[in-house]
Amino acid sequence: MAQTAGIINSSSIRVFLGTTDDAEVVIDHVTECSISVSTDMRDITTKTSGGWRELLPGLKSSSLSLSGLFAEDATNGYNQLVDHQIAGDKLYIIFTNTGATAVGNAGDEQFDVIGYITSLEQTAGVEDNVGFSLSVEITGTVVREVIA
Amino acid sequence: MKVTLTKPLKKYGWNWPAGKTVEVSNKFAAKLKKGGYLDALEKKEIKNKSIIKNQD
Repeated sequence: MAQTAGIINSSSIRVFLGTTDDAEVVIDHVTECSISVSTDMRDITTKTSGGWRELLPGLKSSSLSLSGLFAEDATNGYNQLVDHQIAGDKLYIIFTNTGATAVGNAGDEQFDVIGYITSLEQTAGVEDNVGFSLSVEITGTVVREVIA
Repeated sequence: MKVTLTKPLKKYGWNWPAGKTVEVSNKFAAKLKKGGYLDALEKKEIKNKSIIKNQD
């Protein structure tokens, strides 16, 4: 497959997660997901900066969050995630474009990261879907790779 | 990638019976294929392609 042309449909973006590298399974019933990479800046302003702040990049960090719907029988859903959180499991996560066929589109790029669950919340209103929201802090290098 | 297991998998943190269909990362699919868990997947892909051709 070739790299996807044009603007990508957000429904094609999926999050795969597991406790073993290269053994990730899609998180079921996700309604929204995001990954964020931040760079702290070092202030290197001196008397010779001409009155303007000068900066250089410092510590980089990343986090991932998603929300979804709760299903008791999900293969990889809230029940599995809460077990990972309680156990403090190291999680291998792929944030990728699967396209409409649920197959990672070779030629596109994806995130391949490792992280720990820092927050997991289940919500239940009145006559509504039971939902959950997940936050993961990424540890180590954020790998951006071409899907093979 | 959706795959159907041809034999039980109790490895890599998962515990699934034969016949279970799961959506896995491309790398995991390759690992499962190498381990001989996905014979049915190849048949299913070929079958799907023939269905698409018939519709054309």
